[in-house]
Amino acid sequence: MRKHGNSKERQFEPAAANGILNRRAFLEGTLVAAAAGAGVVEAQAEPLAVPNSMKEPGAGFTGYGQPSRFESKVVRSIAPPANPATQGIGTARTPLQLLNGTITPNGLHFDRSHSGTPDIDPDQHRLLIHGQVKQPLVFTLEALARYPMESRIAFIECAGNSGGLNTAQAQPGNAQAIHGLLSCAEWTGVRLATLLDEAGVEPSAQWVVAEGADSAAMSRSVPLAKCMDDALVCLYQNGERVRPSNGYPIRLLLPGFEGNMNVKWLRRLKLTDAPVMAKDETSKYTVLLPDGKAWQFVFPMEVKSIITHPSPGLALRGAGFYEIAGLAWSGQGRIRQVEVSADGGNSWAPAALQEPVLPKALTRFRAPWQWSGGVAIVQSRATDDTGRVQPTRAQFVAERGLRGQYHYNAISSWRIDEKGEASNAFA
Amino acid sequence: MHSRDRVASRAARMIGAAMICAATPVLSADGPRFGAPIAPGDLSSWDISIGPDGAGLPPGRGTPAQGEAVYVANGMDRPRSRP
Repeated sequence: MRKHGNSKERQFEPAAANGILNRRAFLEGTLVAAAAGAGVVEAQAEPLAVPNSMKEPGAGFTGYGQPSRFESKVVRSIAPPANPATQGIGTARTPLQLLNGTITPNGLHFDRSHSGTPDIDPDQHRLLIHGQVKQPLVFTLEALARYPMESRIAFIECAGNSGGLNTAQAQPGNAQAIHGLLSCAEWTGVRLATLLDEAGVEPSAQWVVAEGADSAAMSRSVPLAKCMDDALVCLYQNGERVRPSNGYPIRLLLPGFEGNMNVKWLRRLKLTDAPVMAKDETSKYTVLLPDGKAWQFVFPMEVKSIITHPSPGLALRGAGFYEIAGLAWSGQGRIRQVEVSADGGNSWAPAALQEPVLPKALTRFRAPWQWSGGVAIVQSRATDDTGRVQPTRAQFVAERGLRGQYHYNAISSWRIDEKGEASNAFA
Repeated sequence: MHSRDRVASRAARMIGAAMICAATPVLSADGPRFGAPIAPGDLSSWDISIGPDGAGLPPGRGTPAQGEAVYVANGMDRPRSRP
C-alpha cells in the first residue's frame, strides 16, 4: 500500500486558488490520502470488537422497505401553509445536501402543490384528449398501460427554485431550503405523441392545454411541438407507480421545462390554436423584469449548478481534504462542463463529471479540495452543450432585476468560515 | 446438416409461418388505438377551460377583487404580493 505523502507530483497539483485540486485525482481513479502538504493526521484507531449485529440473527422481511431508523432526519422540509385551512398548498423540498448520486428517492422527490394532493382511484381515472382533434378520445389507466412505454431520466425543477436568492440580501437556510425544489427520477410512460396521433391533431392546433384532476384543476398551455417531441404520459417513477404527491396515477413529463408544466394527476389535454392564459402562465410563472415588462412562456429551466457538499449543516471538521460535490443540469441539453472555485469566483478549475451525463437530467460533479482552515467562498459554474454558461449573480440581476422570482439560475455561493460552517453569501 | 439443406429447411419454415399469418385477420399497423371515442357533447362537463377572451365562462359577472376573495376563501394559493 502506498504510504502517504509521496505522490503529490502525480495528481495533487493545485488547479485553482484556495485549495482546489486537480480533478484527475478522481478521473484516473488514483485518489490516495496524500493531499499536498496538510493532510489530517489520524489518531490511532480503537481495537476492533465483534459487532452485535453478528451475534444474533437479523430482522425478518418487510413488504415495502424503509430507510434505516438511523436516517430519520433525511426527510423533505415542509413550509408552513400560507392558509392553515389548506395544509396541502405549498412545498415539500428535497434534502439535496443529505443525498448523493443523481436519482431522488420517490419519498423525497420535491412536491409543489397548488391545491393539495388528491386521492385518486386509478380505476376511476380518465385521460381525455379533445379540442382541435379529429376524434376526441378517453383513455383508462388499463388502456394506457397497454401502450409501448419508454423511460427517461429527467430532472424536474420548480420555476421558483432558488428564487429566494433573487433578493438583495443573502439568505439563511441550507441547500434544501434554498434549492430543494429540484429532483431527478427515471420516468416511464407512453409517448404523448402516440396518443395525440391517434386522436388526429388538426392542422390549426398549436398548443395543448394540460389539466390536472386536483381541486384547482391546475392547467398549463404547452406548445404542440414539445408534446410531439419528448413528452411522456408517465405511469411510473423510479420503477414504481408515480407517487400521489407527484401525480398518481399519471403525470405529464416535459423534460427540461419548468416544473409547473409537468402537470400532475393529468386528466385532460385540449388542443387549441392559442394558449389558454391560465393562472399559472399569467399571474404566476412569468418573469417580471426591471422595466416593468414580464417574460411569459419561459419554458426550459436554464443551465445551473449548486454545491451540495459542503453546504450549511454539513460542518467541515478541521482543515484537510474534502470533496466538493454538487449537481448540474440544463433544461436545454447536456452538461458539458462544471467549474468550481474556492475563492469567490476569482479562480476556477474544472470538476469531474460523473457518468452518466444525460440531457435534461441531473449530473453529479466532484472536485478534490484541500481546505486550509480559513475562510473560503465555494462556487460552481455550469456550461451546457448549447454553450450556455451559468451567469454570475451580478450578470443575472443586471438583466432581470430582483423581482423575477422565477428561473433564477445564477451562480450561488457558500461561505465557509474558520469553524467550517457554511452559509449562503452573495459573492 | 449440409448448408443447402439448412437453407431449404428455413425456407420451408418461412412458408409455413406465412401460411399461419394468412390464416389470421390482418391488424392495421397504425398503433394500439386503445382510446375510446367520445362524442363532443359527452365531454362538456370536463371542458372547463376559460379562454383569454372569456370564452367558456358561465353566465354572471364580477370583479378581480371579488374573485380574489372567492379564490382565497376556497383554499387556493395565496396570491403573492410583489415588492
